[in-house]
Amino acid sequence: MPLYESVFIIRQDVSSADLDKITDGFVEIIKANGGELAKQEYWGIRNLAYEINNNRKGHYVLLGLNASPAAIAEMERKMKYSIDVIRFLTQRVTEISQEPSPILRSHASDVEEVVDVTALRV
Amino acid sequence: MSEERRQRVTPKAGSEETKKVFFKRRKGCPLSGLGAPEITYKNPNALIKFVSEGGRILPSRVTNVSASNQRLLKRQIKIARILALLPFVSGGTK
Repeated sequence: MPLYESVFIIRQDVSSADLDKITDGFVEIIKANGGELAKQEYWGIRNLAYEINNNRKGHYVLLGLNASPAAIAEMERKMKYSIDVIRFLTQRVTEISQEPSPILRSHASDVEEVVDVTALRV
Repeated sequence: MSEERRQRVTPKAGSEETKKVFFKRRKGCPLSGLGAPEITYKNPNALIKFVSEGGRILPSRVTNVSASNQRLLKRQIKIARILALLPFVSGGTK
């Protein structure tokens, strides 16, 4: 089965419990259609570069999927009709790396730098 | 110690160092070789360096990106725009 990477943005005012529920819902659709979840990442609430339907921020979620095109189509159809999903994009990829995405790494390096500075001061 | 060094450097920085940063011609492609950032829409902080203030993709003759990397970069920037990680246009009237 081909590999896909799906990124979608959920409205900012959705609670984290609901966010998990929505994400699990999409994963369930994939699993019900014989696919697998290869990777899941939550990028946190990010500022959108531009307003989408009056939303300025959103929860970013990345799913790495190993699923049939039909399963992906079904998931995207659900996303399209979901009120909470403000944007989604699924791409076919040749491989899904298990390392965290650079978007998360940049966050981590920021934290490290801060720690270094305090260590120097002490 | 580090503070002393910084103080010594900063007065110079206004005249020489900053000029160097802006006018120094980098050898080779900034996206190839060791330590180069990964070209992917998942790395918008790296991509934003290859986008103008207005949000347009900078030509490779300005950024010195190799032709093959520029093709990858173009694609990834466009994906990042769709996902609102990078702007289509920024600045202007708000």
